[in-house]
Amino acid sequence: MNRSPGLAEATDALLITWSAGGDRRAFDELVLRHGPYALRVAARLLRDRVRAEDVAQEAFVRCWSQIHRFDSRQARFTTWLYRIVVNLCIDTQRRREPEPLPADFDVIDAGAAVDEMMESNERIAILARALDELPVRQRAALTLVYDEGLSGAEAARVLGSSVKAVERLLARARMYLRATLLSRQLSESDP
Amino acid sequence: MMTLERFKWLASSYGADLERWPEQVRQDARNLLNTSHAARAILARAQVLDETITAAAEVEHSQNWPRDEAAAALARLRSHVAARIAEREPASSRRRLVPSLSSFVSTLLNPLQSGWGGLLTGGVIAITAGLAIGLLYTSGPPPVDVLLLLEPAPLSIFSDTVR
Repeated sequence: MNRSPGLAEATDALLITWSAGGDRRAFDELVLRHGPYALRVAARLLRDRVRAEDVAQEAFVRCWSQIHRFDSRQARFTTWLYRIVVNLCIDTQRRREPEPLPADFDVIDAGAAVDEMMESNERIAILARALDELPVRQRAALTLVYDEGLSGAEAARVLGSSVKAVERLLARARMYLRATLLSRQLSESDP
Repeated sequence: MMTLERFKWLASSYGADLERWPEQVRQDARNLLNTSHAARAILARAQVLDETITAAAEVEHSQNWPRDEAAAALARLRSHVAARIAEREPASSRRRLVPSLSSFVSTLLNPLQSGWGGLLTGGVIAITAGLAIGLLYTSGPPPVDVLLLLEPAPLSIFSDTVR
């Protein structure tokens, strides 16, 4: 599909107005602009390319059907899109597998000991597996704040929760990752 | 003034990069870092975990979405979304249909306002409608009542002889 110069230069707000009037080419420009983010976030949360594409597709179709209700003066399109994508991912993930950790999961702070114990590649491999094991809401908070650069307040809007709740999700995720690094290193060093 | 406990909590959530921290607490955090060895140690530990998380996320992402595959996925996304929204009747097009119909009707009812083009359109439509009505009443078989009316009525003076 070709990209019209007029559309390429239009702001998100303008594209939304045109899309709300039924302009499919304007909406395609929004898909082109924000599709990579939607796909990336969905892939990080679902860890499955095919399902990530399905979720991103469904998210944009929902955006199209509701776009006449969206007010650019009150919210950013990306926040709205992220919210739809994250909610779809959470629903999809919850249908497929149980949360690996209880809500009140807590571990001791392993402190600095972990940092010197492992070689870099080993740490990365262990952490990549540990990221997979995080509950989907913790993974969503981590992805939005660490990878996508959203502030705590923006992530809270996406997740439909408070800033405090997002901070708790992030803290739990980091504690789990740190504890995993420590425990797996210890188990691998056992005779 | 930020306490060490608050600092530790924020570091445990947002990591070592102060740019991720809520904007309103960043300066207080910097002030504490300037004066507290414990705060600097907390941030150093958070930094190591941050780097590992970033590296692990990059590994995971590159496995999930190799560069070419990401472009192909975006192309598929655009194509599928375009097909799906073309399938369904968007609310917006229903909204636009109403003004279009009213504008059309107003053109017919007020040909002078819309100029000779409107008169011509109105004339063509009137002729087409006339032809359609004519065809409707001539193409099918006439009603039975009409056929009875067209038959010659029997004369009553011969009715007995006929029987």
